[in-house]
Amino acid sequence: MPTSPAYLSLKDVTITFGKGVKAYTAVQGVNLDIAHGEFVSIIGHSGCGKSTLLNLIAGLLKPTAGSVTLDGRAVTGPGPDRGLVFQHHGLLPWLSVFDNVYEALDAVYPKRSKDDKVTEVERMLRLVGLWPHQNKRPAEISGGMKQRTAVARAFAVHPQVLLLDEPFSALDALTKPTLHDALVELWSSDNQSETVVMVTHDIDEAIYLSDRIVVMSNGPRATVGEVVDVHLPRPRDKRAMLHTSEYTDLKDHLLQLLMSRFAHAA
Amino acid sequence: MIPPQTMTHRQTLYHLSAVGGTGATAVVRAVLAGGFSVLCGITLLAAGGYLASLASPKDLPAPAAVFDVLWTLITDPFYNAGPNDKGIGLQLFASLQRVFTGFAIGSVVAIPLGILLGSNRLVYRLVDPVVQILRPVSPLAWFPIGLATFQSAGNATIFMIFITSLWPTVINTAFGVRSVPITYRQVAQVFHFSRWKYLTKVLLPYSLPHILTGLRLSMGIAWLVIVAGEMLSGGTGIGFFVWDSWNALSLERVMAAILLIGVIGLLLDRGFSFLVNRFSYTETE
Repeated sequence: MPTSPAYLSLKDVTITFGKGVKAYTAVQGVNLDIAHGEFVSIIGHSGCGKSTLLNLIAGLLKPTAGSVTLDGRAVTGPGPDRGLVFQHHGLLPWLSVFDNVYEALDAVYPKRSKDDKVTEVERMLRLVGLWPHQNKRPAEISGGMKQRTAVARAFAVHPQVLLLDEPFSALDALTKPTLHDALVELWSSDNQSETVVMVTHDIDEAIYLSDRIVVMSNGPRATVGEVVDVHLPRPRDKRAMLHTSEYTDLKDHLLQLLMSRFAHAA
Repeated sequence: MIPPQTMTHRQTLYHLSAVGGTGATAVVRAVLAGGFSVLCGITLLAAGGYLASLASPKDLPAPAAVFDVLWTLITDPFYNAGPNDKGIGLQLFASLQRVFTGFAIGSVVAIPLGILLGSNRLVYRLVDPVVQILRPVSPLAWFPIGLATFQSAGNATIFMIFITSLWPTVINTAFGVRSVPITYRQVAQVFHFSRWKYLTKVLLPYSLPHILTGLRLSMGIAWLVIVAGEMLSGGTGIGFFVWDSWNALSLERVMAAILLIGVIGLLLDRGFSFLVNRFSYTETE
């Protein structure tokens, strides 16, 4: 139920892997319209095709049927207009934190001056609190710092859409909130003009961050089960939010969807 | 995706040595282990020499005689008294020069060929069978081809080393390039890396430890082959020295040369091992 016209749009998207008897239809008939500047989470059980959908928007996968359009143009392959934060950070292990962000920025904007790019990398790394660690390699920093670097890298190229593939799933419960704050910080630093699509299986994370939550039905042939609006005002306070009736109702509703209507078969 | 465990190239590749531990304890351990193996080596050598001298006292030299000759050789390594009488340093230098020339030309051909093989499935299918057939051929078999082509024994030896140096580097480079994880390729796609940036920031850094391992193996085989090659070609070099000493019935000199060949081979291998470790990186979850 987007209030403004669709910016990112999925129409009748179906993805089948393999052919013949081995064919496996992961998602079928997905329709989803996302408005400009909206933060949307996709939630569902393992194997419901959440990551498949995200890779499809990223252009790393092509739909078997249906189409994906961004700002009126069809998505045909990967591109820097859609920044992707990989599930396992995807940092290049032989580059420093600084270079990981710099090389991505340099690849997307080869014509910008070097000084300009260096300044931008510094701004990004300061925003996520990693400037003191700029010279370290990924192997020398913690999991949370790696994922913050990955988020900074994705934001640095100023994509029209930011795609997050379970970005915080490998982090412990104490590290997660600081990453959420880093993400909101970066998003706010761009006046929340980025459109964000995040795949997650964490209900609290989805409520805290999203404007809308898309609940997927189970695979195979997974599709959009229900779309839930989150009307909590921003900026949100994580602890205060926990005690509002809006929050508890939402969480209750989502749990009910995931545990009974779309309960996992296995 | 990246496998869940932390791994380094040191562990994944078939390395000839493994040094565990970190920091000071590792150094102490390495020194102890090194000292122990040197001791073992000397003991074995002495025992072997003693047994051999028991078996045929007139033919094989005693260890003391070998070390005497070795001392004479290494204390005056650079004398030059005509084409058949040069110091051991000059002989080794001639051999090393051939090895490095052949190895350098071989690497310049092998690394790009390996990258091509690793990045293009069709090229791989076409060229790999050829590589697999040529690889098991003893490099010495190429010597006559080199002679016929270059009409010079020295150049034929370099040609032989060139052929020797190709295969391990081609195979390891191709393997490294083929095994670039999909995540890194996706990163390059998502951020629109140019071909050049992909080559220099993803493909080469990822493959470098593999390439260096290939070079290390190539260098090891080249050093093995040069001795046999120079026995065939004559003239100068450590191989010629060994054969010339045999003709002069000086097994002391042969034994001394064997020790020197071993030490230099070890130093070459250590050099490459250092490079491999220098350019390794740790992949993490």
